[in-house]
Amino acid sequence: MASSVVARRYAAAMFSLASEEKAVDKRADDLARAVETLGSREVVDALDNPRLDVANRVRLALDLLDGVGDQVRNMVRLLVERKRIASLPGILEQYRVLADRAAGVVHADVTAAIPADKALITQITRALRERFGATVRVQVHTDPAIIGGLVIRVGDRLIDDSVRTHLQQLQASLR
Amino acid sequence: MAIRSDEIGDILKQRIASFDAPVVDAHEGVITSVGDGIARIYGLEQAMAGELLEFPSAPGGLPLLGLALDLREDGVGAVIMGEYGHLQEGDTVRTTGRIAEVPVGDELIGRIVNALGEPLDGKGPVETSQNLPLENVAPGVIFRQAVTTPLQTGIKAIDAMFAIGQGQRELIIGDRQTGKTQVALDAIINQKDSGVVCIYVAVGQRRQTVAQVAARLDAAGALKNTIIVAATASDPAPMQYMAPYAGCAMGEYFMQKGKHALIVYDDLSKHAQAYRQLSLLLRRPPSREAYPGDVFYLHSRLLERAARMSDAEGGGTLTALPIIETQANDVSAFIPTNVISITDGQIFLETDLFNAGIRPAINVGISVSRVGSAAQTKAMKQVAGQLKLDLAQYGELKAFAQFAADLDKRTRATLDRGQRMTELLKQPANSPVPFAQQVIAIFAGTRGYIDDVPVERVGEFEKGLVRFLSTDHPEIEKDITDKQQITPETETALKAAVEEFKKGFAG
Repeated sequence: MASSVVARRYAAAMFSLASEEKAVDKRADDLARAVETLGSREVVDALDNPRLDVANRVRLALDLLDGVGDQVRNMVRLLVERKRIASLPGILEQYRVLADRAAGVVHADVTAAIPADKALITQITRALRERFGATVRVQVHTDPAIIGGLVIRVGDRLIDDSVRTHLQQLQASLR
Repeated sequence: MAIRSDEIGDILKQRIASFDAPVVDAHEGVITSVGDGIARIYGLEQAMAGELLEFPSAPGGLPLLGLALDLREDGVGAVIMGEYGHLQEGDTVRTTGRIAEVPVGDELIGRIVNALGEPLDGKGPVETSQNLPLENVAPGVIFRQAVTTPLQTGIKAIDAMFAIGQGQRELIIGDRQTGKTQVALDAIINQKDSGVVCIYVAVGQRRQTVAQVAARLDAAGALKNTIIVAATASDPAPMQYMAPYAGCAMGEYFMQKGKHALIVYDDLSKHAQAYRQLSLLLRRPPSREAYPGDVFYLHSRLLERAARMSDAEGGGTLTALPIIETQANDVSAFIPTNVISITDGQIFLETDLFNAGIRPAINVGISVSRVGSAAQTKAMKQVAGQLKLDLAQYGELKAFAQFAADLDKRTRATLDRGQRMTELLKQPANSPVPFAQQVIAIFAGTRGYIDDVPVERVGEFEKGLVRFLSTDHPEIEKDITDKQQITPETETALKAAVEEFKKGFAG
């Protein structure tokens, strides 16, 4: 849990640097590449291994990040030195949250019982845009277990109008 | 009662027809750890402090609720109110948008309920129309007025020396087995015809004890104006933590209606322990005796809700009698000192006195009522003004007198008077004495009419005197009750009557 606080701080710092340079999206790509290279368990263990001296570990990390922007390389150096490299995926996640918030983008996760067609997705997107007043990126899953209706998740907000939930409510009211 | 299957069908049909499925619109979080009645939840950034959370219910079980107590940057710490064996890491938790609240209303009177207001007495559901939040800010200064009306407890020693006013908070403190609960119950029993609604909150007690309390109140005819809120030792700590606030909310309902209510918290030591358990499990830093830093506020915000409202606000009152159990008479432990400093006085009960047969076992020297004489009727002030001082002096002299063979006359007199007054103030359980009879008995004592009565016959003298006056001179008792004071004429009549009785008693 404490690590998410750490990630938030680094992400905020990185984001404010990136927005000063107007390179928010490029920085996100850099971060994503860094996570891809350094995010695996084994690499994190190696970079956190106190048997290797810090200079070597930093060099190792930076060698792996060939072609990634300087700012991200510098942050990785800092993270390795401070034994925080395990927070890197969390930093990316928080960075994306900050970037979305700044750009006014909302990610909606929609679950439907049947595969949704294009018209339905457009309709959902429009409805959500009215509700949240932001650009909405909708991702649709199919899950027959909800029987019918829709379950929409936006961040930790949940809007549940599925037949499954209504049946559960009915069951509770008949008890 | 026979149940016909087509009736059930009809009811179900009705329910289904009228079922209105609301769209769930909530916030959702994920359990990261669960155990000891506590869940840590990731997410739920919008959760409110004290909000009810909905946990997944056990298969076929009732809805499971929790209380968000710890709001942190990266999640929420919540207490689970019920069985949580089926919960797992990764389960989702939803907000309900409701702050914890309890049902309140006249319908609760005469019932035994738990900390959520659900009935425990098997007398069917409690149909109330109103809810009040568990946590409510105490009334402000301008909404209150000074405490001046007495709340008659029916206990001679208390009404005479430590008068409790309506809207006061008087602590009952003492070791185990000193009759703390009994004092509170006597006070409740004395309210059966006074129109004061009583609330008895049992925290962390045995269910057996709660059943006994209910039976005793019922036998005395006082259950019909009493609400019992029970969170027993086997209930989860969150319920024990919530029970006093629930009882207080029920009492506030009557106070806001301009009525009078009396609430007994039995006892706040266990309440503090339940809260300590929750706090430690929520990983709040422990302080003295491992209680959390806000354990003072825990009790001060509860007891501040007892008040006498101003006339503009309806003039209702909520009188609180918190109970604290000490260990080996140690009033300087953490929780006792806290509650002593919050309340408007304390009644201190002692094991030694209890075992010496002095019941209620009140230690006169260190008991006090800070509202005191302001909340006493004139009649009682007239007869009992000197009583506390006399008895305190007696307590000091008694220790010396054990070593001295011959004492001077004044010391002897103080001792004799003290002995007899102590005897006069003894009172068996479950037998509250009406106000006027208390005045008469104490009149006889403080005016010296019992000084020549043998100590072992004082009790008999008192009973006889009261009986004699109510049969032969009922007008005196009536006059004192009506005027709430002893007029010079009544005093003359009372003196004559007591002397008349004494002539018959000596023989």
